[in-house]
Amino acid sequence: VSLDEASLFASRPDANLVELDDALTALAAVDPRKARVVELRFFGGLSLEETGEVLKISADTVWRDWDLAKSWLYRQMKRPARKPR
Amino acid sequence: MTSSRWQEIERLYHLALQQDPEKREAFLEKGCEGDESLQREVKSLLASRSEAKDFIESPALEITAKAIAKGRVEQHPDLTDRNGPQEIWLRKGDSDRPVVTARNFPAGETTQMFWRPTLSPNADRVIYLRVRGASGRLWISAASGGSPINLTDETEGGEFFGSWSPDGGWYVYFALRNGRTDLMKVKTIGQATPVTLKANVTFGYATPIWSPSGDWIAYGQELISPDGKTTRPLGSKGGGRYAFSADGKLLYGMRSEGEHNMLFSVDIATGAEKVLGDLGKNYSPATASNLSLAPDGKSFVYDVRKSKLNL
Repeated sequence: VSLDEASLFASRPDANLVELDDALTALAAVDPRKARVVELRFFGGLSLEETGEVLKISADTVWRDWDLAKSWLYRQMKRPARKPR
Repeated sequence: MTSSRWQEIERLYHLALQQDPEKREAFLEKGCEGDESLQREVKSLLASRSEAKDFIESPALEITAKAIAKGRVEQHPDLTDRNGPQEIWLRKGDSDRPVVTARNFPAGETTQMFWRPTLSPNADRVIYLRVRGASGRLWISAASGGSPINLTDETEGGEFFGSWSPDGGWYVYFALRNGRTDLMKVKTIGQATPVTLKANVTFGYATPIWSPSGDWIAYGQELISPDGKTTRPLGSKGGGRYAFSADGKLLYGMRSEGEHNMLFSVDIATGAEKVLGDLGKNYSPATASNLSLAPDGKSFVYDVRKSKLNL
């Protein structure tokens, strides 16, 4: 699935969510809190403030985490998938 | 990547964003102090940022709702172990993956079983129970997949399954803590703080059920309003498995009286009870499931433990 398709999950939401979930797992290995922010905001539908309350951090920090996590995940999903050995 | 390396990338990324776009290149050149790999990494993230404006900005739930509107996702959760570990699927959907599987949970943290998956009224989320130690915990997953989230922020005691409010905004359930049972409700946003509707209630085993009109919750031996302020005893009529009629005006119930399993209805407005029949001793409800009324309101389904005698 190309990233153009993935950008809005318009055509195959399930397939793209698989890729996002994989990318999120990779992000969690680098920065667990940012992965958690994405889980709560994207999968949980929480606002910046609600996410901040859950994670005990400020909404500003949530926003900074969210901003960088989005860039990181987008780049990760754009990279060609590694073939299994 | 080391933690300090990642922190440096993060610091420079946010500092670069504070610069005018045309000055970022020069800023990074200076800030990275000749570390080309660091400079490439931050530049690459900044480039992705400019392309990713709408990326995951709509919550997964909205995406699922759109998929449902297009008829791609059917409305039934299906629990299966056909692939080994238990999984929840949406039946007849065209998804090539389950909503959630036992693999989503760290080994040893919970048992590998899902209990009672229930789909939200607009079919965008599934709530289910998993058991850790001797206690149950409720979890919520987006129907489109992804990481499961604890339904409540409780860390003590146990939780038992319940039912969705008709608008999908709340879930009512029993919490078992300090040797007593409380009737609780919680917003269905994940990791929310639950509200006690009534403390120290009779467990009664059967699941609390929300009326389709949203006015009442039936559990044990009474009806309770969703704000917890008004109760209406069901008296001798209570104690059983329930189902509301589609308009919420009648409550159907089943209770055991000795060797009899009595089916009855209660008029919510007047409290008048009507006995509809005796189903006999061999048809006692087997689990905490409520009665499931057919859409036409003329029949219902419930589970029965089949004895060796029946076989």
